[in-house]
Amino acid sequence: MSADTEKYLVFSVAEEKYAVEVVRVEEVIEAYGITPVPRTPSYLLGIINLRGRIVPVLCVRRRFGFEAAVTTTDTRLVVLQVCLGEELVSLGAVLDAVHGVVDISPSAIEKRPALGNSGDQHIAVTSIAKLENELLLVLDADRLLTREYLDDSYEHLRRQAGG
Amino acid sequence: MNELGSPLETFREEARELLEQLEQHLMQLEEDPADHDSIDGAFRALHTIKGSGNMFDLDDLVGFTHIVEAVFVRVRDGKLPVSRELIDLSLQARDHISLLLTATESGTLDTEVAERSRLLSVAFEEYLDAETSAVSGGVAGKQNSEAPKDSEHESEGECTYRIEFTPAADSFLTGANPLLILNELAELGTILKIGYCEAIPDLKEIEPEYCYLRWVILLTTDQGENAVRDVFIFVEGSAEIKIDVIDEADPLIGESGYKRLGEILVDRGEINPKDLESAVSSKSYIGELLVKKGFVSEEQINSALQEQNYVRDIRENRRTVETSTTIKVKVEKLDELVNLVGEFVTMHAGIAMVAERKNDQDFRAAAEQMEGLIRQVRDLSIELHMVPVEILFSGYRRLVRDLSEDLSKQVQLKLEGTETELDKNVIDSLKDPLLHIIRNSIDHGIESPEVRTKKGKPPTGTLRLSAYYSGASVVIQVVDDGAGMDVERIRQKGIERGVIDSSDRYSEQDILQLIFAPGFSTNEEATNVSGRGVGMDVVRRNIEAIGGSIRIQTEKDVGTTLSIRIPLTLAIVDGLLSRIGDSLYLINLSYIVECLDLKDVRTAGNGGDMIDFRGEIVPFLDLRRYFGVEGAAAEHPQLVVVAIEEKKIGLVVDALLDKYQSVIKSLGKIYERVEGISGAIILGDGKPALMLDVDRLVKVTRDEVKK
Repeated sequence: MSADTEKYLVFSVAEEKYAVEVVRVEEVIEAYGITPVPRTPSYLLGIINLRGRIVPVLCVRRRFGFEAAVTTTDTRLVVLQVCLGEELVSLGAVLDAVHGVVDISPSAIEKRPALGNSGDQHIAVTSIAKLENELLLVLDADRLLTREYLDDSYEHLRRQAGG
Repeated sequence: MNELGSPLETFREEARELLEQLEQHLMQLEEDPADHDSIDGAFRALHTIKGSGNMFDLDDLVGFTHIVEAVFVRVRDGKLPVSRELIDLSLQARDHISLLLTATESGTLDTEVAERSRLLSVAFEEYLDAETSAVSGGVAGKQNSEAPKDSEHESEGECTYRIEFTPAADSFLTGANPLLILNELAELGTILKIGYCEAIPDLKEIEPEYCYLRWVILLTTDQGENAVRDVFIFVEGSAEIKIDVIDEADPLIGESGYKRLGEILVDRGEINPKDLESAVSSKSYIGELLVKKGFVSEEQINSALQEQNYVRDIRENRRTVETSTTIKVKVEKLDELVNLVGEFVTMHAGIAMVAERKNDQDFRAAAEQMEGLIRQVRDLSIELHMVPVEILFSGYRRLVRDLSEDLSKQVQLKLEGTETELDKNVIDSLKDPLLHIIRNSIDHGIESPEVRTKKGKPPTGTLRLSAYYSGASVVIQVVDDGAGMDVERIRQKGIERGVIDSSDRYSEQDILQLIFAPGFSTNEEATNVSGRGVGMDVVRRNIEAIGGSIRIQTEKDVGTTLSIRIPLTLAIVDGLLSRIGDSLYLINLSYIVECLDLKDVRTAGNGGDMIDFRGEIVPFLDLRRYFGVEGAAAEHPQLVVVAIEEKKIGLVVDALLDKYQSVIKSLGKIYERVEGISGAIILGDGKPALMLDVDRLVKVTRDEVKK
């Protein structure tokens, strides 16, 4: 382990493997005890009680435009620290599976422009990590949910209800 | 861990509080220039600022405050009358001291501020000079002589009196029972009665109906000397009475000891100083010695010793009382306490649920006992967080004064219900909205004296701020006797701007509420005071943010009343838990009027979208449909009738569960745009549930009906 590597949490969503910086991860728990909040975008699953704190939960599959999957024993809820507007908030992300933590050296990470439209999985992927035997999509946690995207979703919802 | 700021920071904080007090005293003096308490208060505030400032070598601040204080010394001594000009100047000085205080943060004083210090100082010095001539003119001096020295003891806090009382020998015959007098004295305060039996003759010489006793009574009371004298009113002629003040509550005297025995005896005239001196010089126990030498009796010594102890105790007590009555606590710490207690309440709900499920008698009993205790802790912690609205209200005195002067209007501010208590956080959030409302009332509501006279009203307008409890809420009213709002004009304006149409289905209240719409103003000319309709929308938003609502009543040329209804506390809510689909929702109990079985309710209206609630046609909202819950409806849906400001709606839920008390938590940024839900609670099993935003639901439902 060289000193300049960084730790990443590896997880999978819809058959693809992702990595997210460990410093952004508050904890990994079972996706259990989610209370849905009505009249919200479908990718928002609701809220959980994290030791007395109310934390919003998002379904990464739906956020990335996939069908929601059935909860299995592998399904996990990863609590991430993300910037929303000016504020740092905790956001629970429901994922298909968590595989563990790996060390990745910065030289193995290749930047690439974020592609796709705002509803696509690639919008939140700004680089790719090339490991010995696999490629990981590096998730930019702050792009998982932006103020603009959230506002658009609510606006969309409002128009639907009105129309 | 040093949570306190630097000493200088603490000084600044305290000085700001003192300046607040100074302002209150000055405003009070303006109303009642002879108010001694306010004069003393103003003086004390200045004195403390000067004194503490000295410790930090804040020369500019100390120097300036000193001159102002010097003027108030004259005022206090009755050498200088309180005039409107003096109040004006003192208020300016207050603001200037505040400025100097801020300057201590940077440590530099710009020339402009220094110049102002000089100008104000000169103005105050004139009062110091003027004082001499006023006294020689005899005007102010006369005022002073009107206050006899004795009266000082009447209002000046606690005093200890030594009362030497020797009833007339025949007092039992005249019905003046000394016992009754002693009892009456005891009612005035703390008392020590020392009876003297030395005058009782031998048994065979005793006249059974005579009184041979005399007393030395030590009485500590805050009732004043006259109250003490009044007790003796019927025996004044016959009995011997001597009353002396032997101890006063003077904060400057810190010592807890008292006079020495010899001094007490001299004081009472039981020994002459010469005899005392001769006795003391022979160095032994003074008491013993004096008795031995036959200067005084043993009884007299005992009595003096008792006095010594008594006064010592009183002083000790006073010191402990003074140090333990109040302590300062940082608001953040209180916030934390309230939060933790909230968690406690939630956690207990969980324990109670487990106890219920296990059906274990002992466990349940323990949980119940704990509930009682938690309730007490909760009430106490909420109480700690409550402050009287006086703090909020009296802060506006200055505003009203300055504003009415700027606008050449005469406005009298009246405060009512100032003792009403509210959560500190609520008070803080009310500060700006109220400021705005008051500005508007003075600017647009209250007319100029000329106009008022023409209308046949008194030239001075009245602005009343009042607060009172109403259920789980507090209502704060801003009432003016001004011109009132022109409802028709607001309606026209609303139609013009396309906010409403010209049909007549809008109630007066609906139209009045338009003034809270962003950018809505009927005022043609903007003034620099309240601007053009800026802010009233902010006012409503701020009040709604703390769960409050606002209502307007107005009558042309009679005045306008704005009523703000706010919850007592934001921290913990009593609610009714209800089920919709698979989810639980909490409905704030204070909004609930009644719960009914939906099948017992007759529907009304053309689409069956209304219900007949005790003869009143009320719209209702099916929350299953509103929240998009799938699946078949419940077998016995329940109807919860809620009301906000007398506007009722019915909410249809699947089932009603239980009363539930909980802390309300915010849903956070991501859910801030959700409609119909105002927060979350955590249930006993640890799962979150949602809190219905009744205010919003009422509005949505009633708007729907209008369309």
